[in-house]
Amino acid sequence: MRAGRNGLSLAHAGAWLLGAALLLFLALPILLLVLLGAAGIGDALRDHETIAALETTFTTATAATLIAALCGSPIAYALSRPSFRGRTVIAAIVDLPLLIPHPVAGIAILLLVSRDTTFGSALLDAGLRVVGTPAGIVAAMLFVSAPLYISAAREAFARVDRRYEFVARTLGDTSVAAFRRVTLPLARRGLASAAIVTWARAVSEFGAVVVLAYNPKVVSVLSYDRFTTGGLRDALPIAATLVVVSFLPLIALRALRYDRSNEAVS
Amino acid sequence: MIECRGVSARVGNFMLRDVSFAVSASAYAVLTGPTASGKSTLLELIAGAVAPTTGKINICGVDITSTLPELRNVGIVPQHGYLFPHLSVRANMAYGARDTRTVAELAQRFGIGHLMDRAVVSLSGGERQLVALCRALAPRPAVLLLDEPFSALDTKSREAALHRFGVLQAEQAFTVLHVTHQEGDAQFASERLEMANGVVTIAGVGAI
Repeated sequence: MRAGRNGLSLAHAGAWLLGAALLLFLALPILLLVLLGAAGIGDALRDHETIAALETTFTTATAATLIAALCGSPIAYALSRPSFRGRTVIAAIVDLPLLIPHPVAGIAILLLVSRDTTFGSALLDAGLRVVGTPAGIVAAMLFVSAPLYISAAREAFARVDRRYEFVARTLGDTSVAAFRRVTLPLARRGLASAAIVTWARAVSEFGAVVVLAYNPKVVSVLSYDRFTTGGLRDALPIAATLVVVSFLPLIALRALRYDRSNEAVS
Repeated sequence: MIECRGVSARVGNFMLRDVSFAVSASAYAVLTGPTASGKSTLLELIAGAVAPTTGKINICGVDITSTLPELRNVGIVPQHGYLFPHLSVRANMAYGARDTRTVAELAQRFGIGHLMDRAVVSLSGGERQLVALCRALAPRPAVLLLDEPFSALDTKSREAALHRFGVLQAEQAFTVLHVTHQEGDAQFASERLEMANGVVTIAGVGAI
């Protein structure tokens, strides 16, 4: 019995060690990057190219998040409800971008929107140039981050018991009104979390963006650009700035979860 | 009146089979039966949450088998109330109400006027049930389906709520189908139904 308990303790210690090793591997590089790059963040924020990259990153990531929320919420809601014809196909399409390497995703979008294609030339005729513009950045960000929004929003909708909606309908609401008055408010924190994760993913995107729009530069492309032209020393302040910016959604997520746990207690 | 003819439905692994019964207009019918006999599923069928695979459901002589829940004029008090947690008691009761006066009258009648500005999450189980009952009554449905609506109330409060509800039902003459395990809940009942294993075994008035 004693030997069994000792064996269990060893297994616990081993599991903790393995977990701690992975945590260190995840945290140390970021910690080092922030520590070594922190001194340059002030200068980076006075650099007009960095400021422009930050502005481009924030606006395009926000636009991609808004589009993902607007177009992705109905898909997420449908996927959260009982099985319907075509559900498997829709779910597969939504998951597909998660399986593709991001530069390949950029190439795939390029195939669709370049001026050599029918769709691309139609967009150009309509006055919308995608390649090498903020629209291209938004398209790349949307492609890689929308599946995350749909997945998280689907979870948020699935957590709302369908009976609430049904009761609302017996009280006179149409299905749309019941969704607006009951399901949406009850899922709002989950949807906000989904939007934050989507925004964070869009901000950090590099592979797909760099294929579609090297310029105007987003922060991730700028840090890569500085790395290839000036080495680690030039890239560090920008990279550290990007990491600090990435903490913002993390803090927002924590605040949302803290709020939710307080609500659950009351 | 409520009339089901040869209604069958499947919910997960549970089957409701060839259910036929009738509850007279303005009647107070009590539906009893063992746990998992299909009582709640039957209420959800009548209210429109579950679609039957076969059969017809009529309310006041109108076939509502394929009618949307919001157009059936059927109210329901589900077993766990399902009060909207993001709304206050007042907002819950006013959700489908015809007017604010009806809400105030119901709150006064059932003795929950002092709860109106409370958050739903702060209510006790019994208080929640009374609010859920008032919320379902506020739109003045022609048929009201109750799924153990007083189960969380203590004996004294239960008696009082039952009496008040019975008086209101007699005044407004809406049809009631009340699922219960408590024999005492049948004191206002004019008709009685029983269920077992997904089949209605009819007793008393209402057999067809």
